Amino acid sequence: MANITIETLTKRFDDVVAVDDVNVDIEDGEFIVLVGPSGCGKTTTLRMIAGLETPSEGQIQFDGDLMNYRTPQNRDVAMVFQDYALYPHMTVRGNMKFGLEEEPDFTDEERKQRVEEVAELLDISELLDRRPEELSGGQQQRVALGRAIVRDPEVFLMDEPLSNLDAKLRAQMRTELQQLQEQLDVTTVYVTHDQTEAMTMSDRMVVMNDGVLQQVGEPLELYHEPTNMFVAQFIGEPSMNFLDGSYEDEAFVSEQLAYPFDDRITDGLSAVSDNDRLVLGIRPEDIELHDPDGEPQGETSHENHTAAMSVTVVEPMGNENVIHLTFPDSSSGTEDLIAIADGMRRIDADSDIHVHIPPEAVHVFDAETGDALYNRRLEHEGNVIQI
Amino acid sequence: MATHEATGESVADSVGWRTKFRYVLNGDFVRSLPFWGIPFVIMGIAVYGGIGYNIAISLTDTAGIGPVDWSSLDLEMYSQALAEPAVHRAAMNTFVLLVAFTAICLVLGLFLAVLLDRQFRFKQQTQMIYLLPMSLSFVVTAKLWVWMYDAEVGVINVVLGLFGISPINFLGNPSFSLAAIIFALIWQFSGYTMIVYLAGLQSIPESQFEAAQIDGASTIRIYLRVIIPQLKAASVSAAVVLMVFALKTFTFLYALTGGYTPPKGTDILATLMMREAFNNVQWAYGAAIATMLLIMALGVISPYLYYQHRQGSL
Amino acid sequence: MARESLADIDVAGIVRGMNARRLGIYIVVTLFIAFFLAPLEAGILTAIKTDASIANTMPFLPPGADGVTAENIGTAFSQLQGGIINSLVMAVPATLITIVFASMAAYGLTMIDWRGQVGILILFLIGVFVPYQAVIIPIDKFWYQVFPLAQMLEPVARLKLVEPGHLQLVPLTITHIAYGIPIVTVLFRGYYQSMPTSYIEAAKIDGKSLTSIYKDIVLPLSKPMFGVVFIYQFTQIYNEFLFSLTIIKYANATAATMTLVLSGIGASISGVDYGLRMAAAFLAALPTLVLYIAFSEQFAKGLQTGGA
Repeated sequence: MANITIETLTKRFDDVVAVDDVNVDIEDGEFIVLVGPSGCGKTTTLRMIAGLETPSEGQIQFDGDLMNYRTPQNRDVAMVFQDYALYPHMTVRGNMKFGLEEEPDFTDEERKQRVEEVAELLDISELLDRRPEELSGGQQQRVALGRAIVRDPEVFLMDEPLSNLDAKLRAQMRTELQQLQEQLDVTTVYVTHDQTEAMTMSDRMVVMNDGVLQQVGEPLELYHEPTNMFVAQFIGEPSMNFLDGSYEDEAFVSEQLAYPFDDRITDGLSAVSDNDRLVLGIRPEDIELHDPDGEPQGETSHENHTAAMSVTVVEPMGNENVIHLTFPDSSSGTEDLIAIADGMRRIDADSDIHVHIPPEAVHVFDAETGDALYNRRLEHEGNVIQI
Repeated sequence: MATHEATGESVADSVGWRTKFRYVLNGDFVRSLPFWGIPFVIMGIAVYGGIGYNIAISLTDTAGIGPVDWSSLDLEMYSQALAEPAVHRAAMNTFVLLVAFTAICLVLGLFLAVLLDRQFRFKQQTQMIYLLPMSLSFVVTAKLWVWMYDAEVGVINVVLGLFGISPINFLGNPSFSLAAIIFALIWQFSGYTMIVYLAGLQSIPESQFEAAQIDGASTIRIYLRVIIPQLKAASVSAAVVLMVFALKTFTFLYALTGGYTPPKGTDILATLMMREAFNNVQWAYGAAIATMLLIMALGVISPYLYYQHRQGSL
Repeated sequence: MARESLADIDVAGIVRGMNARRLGIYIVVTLFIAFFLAPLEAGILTAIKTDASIANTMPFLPPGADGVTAENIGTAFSQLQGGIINSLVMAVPATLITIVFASMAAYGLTMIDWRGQVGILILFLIGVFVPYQAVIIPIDKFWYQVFPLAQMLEPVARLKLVEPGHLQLVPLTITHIAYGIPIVTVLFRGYYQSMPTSYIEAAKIDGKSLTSIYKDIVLPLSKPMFGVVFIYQFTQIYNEFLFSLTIIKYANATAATMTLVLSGIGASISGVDYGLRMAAAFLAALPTLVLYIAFSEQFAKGLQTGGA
């Protein structure tokens, strides 16, 4: 078990900068997930921790020991590969024992016993004498995990280990992996492009884009307080809605919408002056939909942050409906907002609806830089968000 | 009701016959026939007709000029060949050539493939040079090596001379000649095994190597335990090609001397057969030896085809 | 534990270690380059040396200024040119016709599914490996006694279109086609098997006939394979010797191919003229060498799938 320090880590392939000045401290026993779209540098970062790539600049330390020039063989890490990389000509037992054979402290009897213990733990004892080709995808995945666990390494590295499983098995393995990691208490660096995996499994997650670290933090912190538009849209499904406009008279103004900010928000926008370009962000699950003929808060007015919109498409998910909305005079014909409504509620496509955007749930971003100027505050959330 | 049934049956019968006929006509076998039929017939006549004709000739006593004499058919030529010391010697040489040539080519080819299985400058050009001898005719290679081996001005003896070793008449001395020929053939063929192994290496995912690295294995151990065991299929198919080649190699030996008699100590079944048939006009005797060669070749390729079939790769 | 930093580590030592290893690999790679090129390099140098220079200089070193001659190359060319032309005239059509037949056969045996295919395929595969010694006597008897095609074509020669001596190239070409079909079929089959079946299935659903699928889909998609197969099979036929020896027989025959002529050059035991021999060997190898250098990747691919 080790803590990992990554300082100014940079990797260039010829002219392409794959990883650009990344700094992260990973604590002993922590489950860290590196997440981002493909090509964002997360796998390269992982491979540098493993020793499969050499950093162009910066340092990687395990417990203060510099790792940069150590071969993978000498780092005491274990890795689960995306394609599992099981040795096809060896049995499951042979696969799991292979790494142990490099450790001179074990007798052969101990190695055998250790393999059997781990197989027991992962419930793959009856597969020990089979070859990888005779196993299902899920079983291969377990063997790959077993091969890593058996080594009892300082650090576990996992490169999209669940991406080749079907959706149901993936959900099951997510929980299992998490429990396993807690039980073994080994520092784990896990790479995925799937934000759900990142949110559900990690102690802390590291969001990357274009080789640049965007934000490090606990999942809910990133969800509620994204530092920029990239993190805001990457985390959460469906993504956060963004509306383009400008700052006028303590209000957000776009072609279709005028949205006055209350004091809480304007206090946060002290650096913004009139006519600056802004982006207003609102998560689909925070948008409230009201019947036009219904209760008083259904009234459209700027003061109560409600606008008249029409429904273009309704995607029923069962537990909820995903509602696509446009402003009535929208020229584009594309949707302007996506909202989530209760699955039991009946909303028809092509109907008109009143949309309430609660001021306590909005985010404000700088349109130029994408940086967050104002995020909703977690301390106000208690009664609004159900997770 | 009964009549109805009867007519119904006959209708069903005639429809069945017609449908069946049409089914056969439209079946993929008949429809694919125009594509493979003609080449199959040409190849069939040439290969299997040829083999049959050869076996038939081997049963006669045909010799000299003139047509095949079908009057007496027996296995006399085979018993004669099996009793002949020259055939024994040739069989022994064939065996030595086959084993040494195949084994060394495989090992050297594997070594070269592993050597080139990494990124370095001019990798493509290097691979091209290693494979270059394979693009040459055996007649050309033979000319080159006759000269390389020349006792007075040949490169090999000149180089050996630099180390104070007195000239060796490689092709003239029976204790060296077979080894010298095997060496020259290895020069020509190790590029071939290299290219087969390189294809095998490329089909092994990079992650196998990386996983073994992370498992703590040294580079040598990774190759021995993880990579090379996965090259079994490549080894088998290269070995079959090399062995069959060793059985039939004739051109190289013919071109060394420019005649049917190869250098002393290097007569193999393939050259013996050609000499008996085309030089000594012992057609039936030559055909019998050719049949033995065929049986040996089948002995090599049948297990291979069976292995391929079982692997489902036919 | 002392915190290690970049400064404490012997970076130079590590870099040296890696460079030593790299250097070792380069040395081994270079030694093998020398091994594979030495006979060729020494051969080319010998071809341009005078007899005196061959006797006096190291075989792998260039001759002095007065030791260079083009005489060997000139003599070799005059002796070989007919053979090279014969070989090309025979090998090009033989290769093309083989390819046409074999690609059709491979299509019938790969893309169309019917029972018993494996049986036919095994017959083709055995045809790839059969030692030609097992059919060489029948080839001789067939073309000289059973079906003397060259003789039968002689009336054509009277039309003065070709010399009668060249007619022997016709049975030789046919023989190459017949024995080339199995290996080329196997080459094409390997390629067709790697093609996604969904193309064929989509075309079937579009109502295309098998012929149209072959013409409109399989052929255009297998263009790169035609290149590979042509390079491979042309080299094989051009370099082949056994069939030429059996059908044409004599190095001084009008129809003698390159390999047949070359095997006779400088063969006399008495005076071994290495300069002439080497010059001839290079001229003879030139067409395939040029082809190889231009298309070495295709050549390698052919070998990988087809075998030597």
